[in-house]
Amino acid sequence: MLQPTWLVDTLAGVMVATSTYCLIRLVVARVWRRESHRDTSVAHTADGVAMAGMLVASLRVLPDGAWEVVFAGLTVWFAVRGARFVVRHGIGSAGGDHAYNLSHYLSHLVMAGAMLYMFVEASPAASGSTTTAGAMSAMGGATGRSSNLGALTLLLVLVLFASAVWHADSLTRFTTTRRALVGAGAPVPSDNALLSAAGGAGTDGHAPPDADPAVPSRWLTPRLETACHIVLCITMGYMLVLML
Amino acid sequence: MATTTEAMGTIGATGGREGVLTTDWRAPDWRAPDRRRMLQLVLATIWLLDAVLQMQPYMFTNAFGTRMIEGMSVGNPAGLAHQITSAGRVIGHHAMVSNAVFVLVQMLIALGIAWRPTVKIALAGSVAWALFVWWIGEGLGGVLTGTESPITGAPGAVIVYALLAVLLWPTDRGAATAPFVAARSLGAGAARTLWLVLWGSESYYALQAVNRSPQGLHDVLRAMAAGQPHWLSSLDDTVARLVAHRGLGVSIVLAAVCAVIAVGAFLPAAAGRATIVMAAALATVIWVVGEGFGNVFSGSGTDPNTGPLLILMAAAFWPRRVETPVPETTPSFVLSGTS
Repeated sequence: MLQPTWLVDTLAGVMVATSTYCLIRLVVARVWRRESHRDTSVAHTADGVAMAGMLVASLRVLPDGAWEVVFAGLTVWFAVRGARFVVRHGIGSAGGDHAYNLSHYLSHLVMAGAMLYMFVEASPAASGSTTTAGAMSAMGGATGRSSNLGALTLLLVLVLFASAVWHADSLTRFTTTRRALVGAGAPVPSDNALLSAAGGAGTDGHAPPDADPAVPSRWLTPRLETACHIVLCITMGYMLVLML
Repeated sequence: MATTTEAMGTIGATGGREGVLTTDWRAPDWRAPDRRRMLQLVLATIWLLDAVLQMQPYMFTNAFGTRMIEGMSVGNPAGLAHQITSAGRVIGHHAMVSNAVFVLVQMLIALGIAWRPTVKIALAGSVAWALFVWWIGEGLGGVLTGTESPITGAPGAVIVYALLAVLLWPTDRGAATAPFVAARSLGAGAARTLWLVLWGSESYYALQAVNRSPQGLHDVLRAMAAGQPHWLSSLDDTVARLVAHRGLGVSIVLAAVCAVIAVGAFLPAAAGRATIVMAAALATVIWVVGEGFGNVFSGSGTDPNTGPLLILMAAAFWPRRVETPVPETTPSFVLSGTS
């Protein structure tokens, strides 16, 4: 049973747009010398491009084997980062921020792992298909109803959706403009400087003194990065549901 | 390089310099989720799962309306059956558009609950949507057919969504003194009454004639095993064999357990906790064995059924320590006289 073409094409389009934004975010941070979070942006870009290719075969840019290497690498990266965080700060909650920091690593670890899992279990190439319909039907039928992996798939779906909801809740956690921290060790910039720097530093919370104030603020806010995360989680969960 | 959340100013590790942040993206009046908010987020997660399950290929076909929806009319009174059949026919004839609307509505409910500024409107919308689906999509959960069982999801999953929206409504009637989360919106008495009605009805459905029959539960479980993954169908078959020819006894035990759970909300905290644990355990067993995780492995499951919702509701009734307000004492030196 095939998915409606308009739905698959729409999701693929959203994935392309999301990954393009994340790529631009990386470039802008580099060009304007803003501190940014390359691992998150790289992971989001890879997720979006890979899922677009899984949804619409003509959008495939890398062979499945290469994607498996990419997501295996990202899985290890976020596992190591998460482990280092736990070693430094522990698992026990020391306030709301701790939970968000810990969930950041967990959600990206699960996302990278889920992508790897999808490529191993249900890539279009596994069925020899090169068409949209073929790609989606491959996803729907690769695991089979008698597979014990159905429970793992459902677990991944639940974690991804929980991550999407958790991040949606945190959207109001961030402002669209930065404010100065009172008592910080570095000099506090003026209001005008703050407003100018708001967009430039993306999500790093600290604009270098030589940051270009001309970068528009609203395009690099943490809220947009969070929105990308939500969209990616939902689409990834949808693709996993087709494997149930 | 600092990670996203660290660098957002939450830990203070930017470029390896602890505590030298000069600016911050955080909203100054933002608060971390409390227990009720966490339960709301779990509810939003389940709604999101519903929305995405609704995006499965089968739901966009004519069969969703003409088979699945119309099938709910069987055993219902003529008037209700006619309404369900008519609705199923319309949905079947406009399968693509109608299902796209269903997906959109559920997605908006999920994200609306998750996003704080819209939580009230989303919860209110979820109640309206749940009642509509309970009526048309589930045939009032089959409660008028006499064939429903707690094992298969009576009294209908969507009505439990509506109950949860009411119990987790973000208003407070004495947050500091509420004995459990669900009491914060309605008050303890009304919340306990809803719990009693829900689990009392489960007890009643367990004793329906079809469930009391010697092979009643056995047949239900065997039917559920069909179309499931091997490991799940094997589990269903094993349990079906265990309850074969024991329908009456199992139904009485199940009804008794549900009755104990129903009155548990009125018991003292310690006993209340035991019954809440019992409710969560029973809901888990029902979800796995009787409901097959809401039939999600079949490609035609539209929701995870009542299991996770009953667990969520149990969490909302988990007794918490109520801090007794300390009475204000007048410092003696204030009124010590002026002479």
